Amino acid sequence: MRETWLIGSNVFRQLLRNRILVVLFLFALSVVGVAIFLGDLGQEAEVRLSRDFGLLSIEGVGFFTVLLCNVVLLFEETELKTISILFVKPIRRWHYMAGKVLGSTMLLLMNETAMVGLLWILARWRGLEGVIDLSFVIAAFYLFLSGVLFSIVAVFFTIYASTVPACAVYASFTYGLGHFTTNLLEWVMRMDQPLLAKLVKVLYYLIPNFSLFSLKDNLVAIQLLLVGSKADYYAMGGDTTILTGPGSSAPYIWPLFYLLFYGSALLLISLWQYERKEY
Amino acid sequence: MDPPFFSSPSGNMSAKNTDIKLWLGAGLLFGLAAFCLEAGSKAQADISRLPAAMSQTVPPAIRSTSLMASMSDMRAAAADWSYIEALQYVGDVRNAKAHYKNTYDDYREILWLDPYFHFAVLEGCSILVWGNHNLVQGRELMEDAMRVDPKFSRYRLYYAAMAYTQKGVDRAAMLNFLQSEIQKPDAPEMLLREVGNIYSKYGKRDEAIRYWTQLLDRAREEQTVNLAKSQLAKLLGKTP
Amino acid sequence: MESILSFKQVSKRYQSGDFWNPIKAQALKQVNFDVTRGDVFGLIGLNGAGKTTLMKTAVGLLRPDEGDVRIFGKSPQEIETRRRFGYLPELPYFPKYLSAWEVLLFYGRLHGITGATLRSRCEETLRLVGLWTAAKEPILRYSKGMQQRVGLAQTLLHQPELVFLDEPMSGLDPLGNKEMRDVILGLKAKGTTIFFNSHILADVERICDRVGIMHHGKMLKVENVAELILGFASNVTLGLGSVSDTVLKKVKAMRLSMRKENRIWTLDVPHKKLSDILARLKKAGLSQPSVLSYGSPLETAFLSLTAEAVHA
Repeated sequence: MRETWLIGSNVFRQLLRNRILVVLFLFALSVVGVAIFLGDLGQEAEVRLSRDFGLLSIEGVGFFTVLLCNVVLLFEETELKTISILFVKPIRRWHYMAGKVLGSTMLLLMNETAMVGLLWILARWRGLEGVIDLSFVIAAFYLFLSGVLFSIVAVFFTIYASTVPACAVYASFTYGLGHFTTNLLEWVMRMDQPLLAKLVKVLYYLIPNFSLFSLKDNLVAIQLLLVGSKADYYAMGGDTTILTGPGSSAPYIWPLFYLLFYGSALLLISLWQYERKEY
Repeated sequence: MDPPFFSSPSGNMSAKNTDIKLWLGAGLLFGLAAFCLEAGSKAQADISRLPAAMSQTVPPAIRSTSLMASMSDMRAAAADWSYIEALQYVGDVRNAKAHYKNTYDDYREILWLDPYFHFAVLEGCSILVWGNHNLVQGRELMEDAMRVDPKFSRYRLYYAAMAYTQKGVDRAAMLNFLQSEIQKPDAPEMLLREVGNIYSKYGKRDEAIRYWTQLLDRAREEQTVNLAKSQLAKLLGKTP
Repeated sequence: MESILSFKQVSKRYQSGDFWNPIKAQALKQVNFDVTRGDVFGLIGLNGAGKTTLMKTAVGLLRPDEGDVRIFGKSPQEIETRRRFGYLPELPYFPKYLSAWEVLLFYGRLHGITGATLRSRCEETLRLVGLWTAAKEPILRYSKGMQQRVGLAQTLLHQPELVFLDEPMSGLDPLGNKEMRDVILGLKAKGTTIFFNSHILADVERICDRVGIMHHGKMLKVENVAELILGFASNVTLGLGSVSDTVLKKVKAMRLSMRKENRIWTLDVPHKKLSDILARLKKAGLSQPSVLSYGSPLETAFLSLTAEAVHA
């Protein structure tokens, strides 16, 4: 664990000083500003729009953060061969792999926290109440977890892809599919095509599912969960009754276990290849 | 001793056994992940908007970008963007010549994308009915919205207000549509008062008397009780 | 004497070519030798001889397809083994936005060195390699030679018993070259075992106790430098100029050490036998061969041995 932390913090330090990622950080902050001002176009629905676009921008920046981190790191490893010095040090290769994931996760957390903070400041400045509440923070946290899963996927592709552009393409494609398969499965199940349904089902299980972490469409459900009862929720001014009950925590617990199991499985397969790879 | 994962091609059996264990372990973890995915998707479907939305027919005029966004976990944001575009459309006076003909399609798209964007639906309906005087489309939009989210009481209030204030609507059909809602014990009293007013103004006298009598029995709010008494007095020709 | 690095019948193949036409190239062929504690072992060979491959196999970055490599009697993959050796790759690169100081702190912590000990070791090592004044600047601003020095610093930071240096003089100016040589000699004086590749034969001659000559993946010869020099010392290189095929055939039949250099056939002749050989050449029809050089013994040995291997 000590070695993983050392490598992770070193990766974080490297990434933090890399100009591409500084530009990304500034981009992230400007995107948050755009989200707030887009909300203005929605007039009375300003708070809702600010929340939705805020979460969408957090998700988008998270995607680019993870992708760039791993592409930048992979470039240095393959082109500049910095990895050969590290692999003769007294560390295991899994330390290095876990350290990469940890380093990019730390950068992701920093970016997303900064975005939530700036969104809060801008909302207050514009006099918008209710943009950042606990439900928003929870939704943002699950987007962060989705970013952690994507980091693991990106590390997997850095090992199996032979070039940097290939790695970026595979990772991006998987990210897109991971948001698509749940909805695709719903559509296909309604069609009378059993073979197609089976194929889509296999893809559904195989491809990392990011929809499970995408709670941004369910902010009201999270609010209701936090409040605990319908009566209290209406008393607070909640204007919808989409749930039959106060809300269970199951939709929020299962994604955590999914991340643990799927992430570990993918890391194990990555480790197998990492151990066999020669430099 | 060689580390277990680094199996030499020359045939290190213990390393190969470790490789097999690793793959079996990965397989087991994938299985557990699949189980969690099923359970999590089901739990989320219970609270998600997707089932309600998916049961609707896709609007014919929906933009391809909105359709793609809806398939990619961006329904709420796509609905917001469509809402901004709808507002821009109705805010542009140049569209008045065409009687803002795209308004229904725009708000129908928003409803499909996010059935719980209540504010947009109420606004769209108001624009169609009281702005564009397009009762047919306003009523269709509201009925679709009520089918998708039967629990949002304000839809019914707007629907009742439509029936009360507009000329040329099929009030009998609209009252029929509202019957199941007003029979519920927790139906909002504001809605019950509105329906009563429709009966009083446009309905038959017997029906109106029956309605207000029933309402008097179940009313809890003072405003409702007073209104029921005054309406009954008027209909029966008595002083309240 | 204790053997701390041993290669036993080590072979390695690389796959090159594309997906449809894979080609297997034999990078190492049955390499077999030991390095004893305290030795400075120099590995020389032409480009593509397999020197870097051999070194990477030794440190565990590559796995041999056949045979075995042992460091201190154990596999180079083991964590405890790796604590005891250092490795400087050819043309090392480091994270360009970190400084040499930060890089050394990082590597030192990976070796389990912490606190004040780590800081003093980093300072000591940076002073040794001549980078102390630039220690806190980002590596982005370093020249190739400075990066080479960072590489050396990270190799020596944890005071290893065995050091692998792949082309340590690469990228260094003449002064840097001398400083590197002094560092290596300093390590030698302390009893550190050194295994290094180099193209600069003069340095190998000066520094090494033993030398290995590689050619096309094979180890042609492993010998003490002194004995090798003695065998090829005072050689004279004669140039044959433009000769007819008849004369050339007669000269070849004499079975002397011949090679072709820049389209001219040359002979390496021991000084003691010079007059005798000149007489024989005259008899064969070559009256005035030119004397090209008294070349460095090691260079002569290297060129002779590799030429023999080509013609064998």
